[in-house]
Amino acid sequence: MVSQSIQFEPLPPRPELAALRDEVRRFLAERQSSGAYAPGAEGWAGYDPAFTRALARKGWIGMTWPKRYGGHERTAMERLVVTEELLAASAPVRAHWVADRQSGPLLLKFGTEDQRQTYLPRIAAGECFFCIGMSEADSGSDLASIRTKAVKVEGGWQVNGAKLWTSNAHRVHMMILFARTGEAGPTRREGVSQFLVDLSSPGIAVRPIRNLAGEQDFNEVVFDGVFVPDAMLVGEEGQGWKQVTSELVYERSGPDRWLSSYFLLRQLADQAKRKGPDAGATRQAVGRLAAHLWTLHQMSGSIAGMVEEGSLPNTEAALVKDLGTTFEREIPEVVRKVVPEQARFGAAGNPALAHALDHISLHAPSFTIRGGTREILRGILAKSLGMR
Amino acid sequence: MNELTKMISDSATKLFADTCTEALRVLAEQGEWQSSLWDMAADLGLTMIRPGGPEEDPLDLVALVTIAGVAGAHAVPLPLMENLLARRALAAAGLDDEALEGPLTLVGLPSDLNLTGEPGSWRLSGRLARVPWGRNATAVVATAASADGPRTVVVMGAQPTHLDINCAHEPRDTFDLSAWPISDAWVGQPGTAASAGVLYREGALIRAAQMAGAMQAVLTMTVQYARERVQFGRPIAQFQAIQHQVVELASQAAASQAAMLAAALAGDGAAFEAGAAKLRASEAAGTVIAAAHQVHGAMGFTYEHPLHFHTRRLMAWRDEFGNEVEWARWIGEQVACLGGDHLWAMIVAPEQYRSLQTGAVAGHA
Ligand SMILES: Cc1cc2nc3c(=O)[nH]c(=O)nc-3n(C[C@H](O)[C@H](O)[C@H](O)COP(=O)(O)OP(=O)(O)OC[C@H]3O[C@@H](n4cnc5c(N)ncnc54)[C@H](O)[C@@H]3O)c2cc1C
Repeated sequence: MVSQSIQFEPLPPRPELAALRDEVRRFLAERQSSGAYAPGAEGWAGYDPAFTRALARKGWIGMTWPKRYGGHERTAMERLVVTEELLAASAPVRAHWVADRQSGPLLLKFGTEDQRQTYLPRIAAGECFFCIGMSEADSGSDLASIRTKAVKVEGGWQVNGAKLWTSNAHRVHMMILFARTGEAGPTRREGVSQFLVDLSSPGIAVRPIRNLAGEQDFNEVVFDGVFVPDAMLVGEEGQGWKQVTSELVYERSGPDRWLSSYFLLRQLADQAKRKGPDAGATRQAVGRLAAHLWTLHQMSGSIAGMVEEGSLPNTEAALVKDLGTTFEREIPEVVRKVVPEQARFGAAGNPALAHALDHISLHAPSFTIRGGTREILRGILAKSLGMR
Repeated sequence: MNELTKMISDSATKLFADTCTEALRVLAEQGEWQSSLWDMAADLGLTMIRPGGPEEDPLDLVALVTIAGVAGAHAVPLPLMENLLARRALAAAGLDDEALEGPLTLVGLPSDLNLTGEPGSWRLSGRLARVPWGRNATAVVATAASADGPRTVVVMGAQPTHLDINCAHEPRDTFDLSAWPISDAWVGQPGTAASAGVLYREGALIRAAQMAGAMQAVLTMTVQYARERVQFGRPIAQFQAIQHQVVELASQAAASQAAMLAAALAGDGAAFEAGAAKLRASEAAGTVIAAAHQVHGAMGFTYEHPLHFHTRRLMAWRDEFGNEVEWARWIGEQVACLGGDHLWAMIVAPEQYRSLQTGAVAGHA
């Protein structure tokens, strides 16, 4: 049935979560004062296995998973509180982010008992990191057109092909690979499957691709006759499309889709304290962005509430990602106008803000592409509105 | 939403869906007071909501925004929400409104009303501007400055000195009062509950809720039109440029809805949240109006097509009780007091920062 409106039911304030927020803040303050990390514009892109393990010791990885898999059986709402606090404090969470956000939940939902017992406890301990092997050179938005093939052989599968834009492939242990295993069928969504791939397997070559900021973050991953044992097939052979769709809900629904530029907004709030010719415009700008941020925080809470009740809010996740990434992209555009060069670099300048602005401006173009482009999200939303 | 709120909302939806016809809205725009619609709303209890049980407070903000959403979605040409807000303000000021026949209304623009004299001989002077439905109301609730602080007052029997309308043809009238006598029963005690800021921000929240309702109605009409209108041999809903505009409309409507409901759930005194909700709705309205009219083509520009009953209200309401820039400035002043270190804490727990949220809004004390 077509729903003609997409509704978010914000949750009543839950004061009982305040203690958890405080606990995360105290932990982060300690890590900062001990010099373990310093908040910076790279935000959640910071990759730091030691920090990840410290978080694991606090029980903040795999929070919602069953205890028998190393999880902590906390609620989706509690997980949201922790992730929000980590991102708002620009904590370096990248190492475990994908595993905690989507690979673990995918295994929990579709994996075999053996896969769960092998990988989930290690993820929750902060010892096993994942990357996402979906996109290819000729298959970005059109994911169903992938050409990387897994062919059935004795005892497993042989994989040939190449994945592209694979973030972190050069430093993580495992990939969830999306590959063609059969005929595409009229919908093109048949004959695709997901595999757990150990990146140290023979035949895998990871080649770095520098991004426009000069960093190495994503890669090309080439598979040349790579053997993947039968036990590493995730879920059902040929059912990969359905699985990947549910994985993408986890990928799209979280606060990492509206807090990527938060460090810069925080700098703008500091700038707003200053008096001077730009003060009025600065305060107006930060006031507006604060209202938008608060709204996104409410919408995310509402999604966590739906997840808690066991639903998979595909449409709502797409909507919040579209609004959230638009917000993330807008922050540097606003800041550069209300804090002109003179106010950044002049006598009473604000170099901290200036450098954050440069960093975020350089990365902003990726916000509305990674994890599914804005246009693809809007296509999903149009469908749910009955427009296609 | 509790049971009672849901009941009220369902019965309001049914009433307005049945009665709030285009013909009736046209008559209202021509200046005809819709007394039978008002009476039917009164019969349902929508004009004078009273506690339904020991723990129930149906004049709470969640109930009010729920009714406001329904009223907004049906473009109800009555001061339904102004009346309820005014009654809520009277209850907060300890004034008994039960004896007052409706519709009551409240002052729209910040006023410079002054209360002088003493019990037995109170006098009011000043201007009440942009009073919604002033000509049809039996009384106007406002805040007056007095020697010992702001007080809630009820102005009864005054005639507007100037009649005006907003772009949805809703009355917005002006009253000039000069030493207007006011009985002791209609002067509240001085105190914070009576501050003009409270009345103004509750007005802002209610307008945000009416706007969210109107945006949902606009979305439904726009989706339906796009699926029915055929050009180049297919429904225009199949053009991606159209789809993306409608999606933007839907997203803005959803964000406005989420913000205003969260603000209402935050309860009395939630000033930041109310301001943020009005900001969000006022900003959203621009996108919603533009997208809806673009998709409707020339047909949407006619008086005959009912889209304008909603879009003209959005045009008017986005500026009433503070537009997005006024609220951005107001929130921005608080952020400037906090700085970056406390911004996030304020976003997730605005209730911890209430003392900051008392400043002036749009010239309001
Ligand atoms: C920083 C970063 C990290 C990434 N990390 C990963 C990763 O770890 N793993 C992974 O698998 N992938 C990753 N990606 C890839 C990402 O998922 C893709 O970039 C994305 O899905 C878009 O694919 P594309 O880049 O090939 O663009 P294309 O699909 O070629 O799109 C180009 C443009 O055309 C538009 N377009 C395409 N189809 C349509 C349509 N039907 N209607 C309207 N417009 C359309 C797009 O919206 C876009 O604007 C990453 C990307 C970035 C930027």
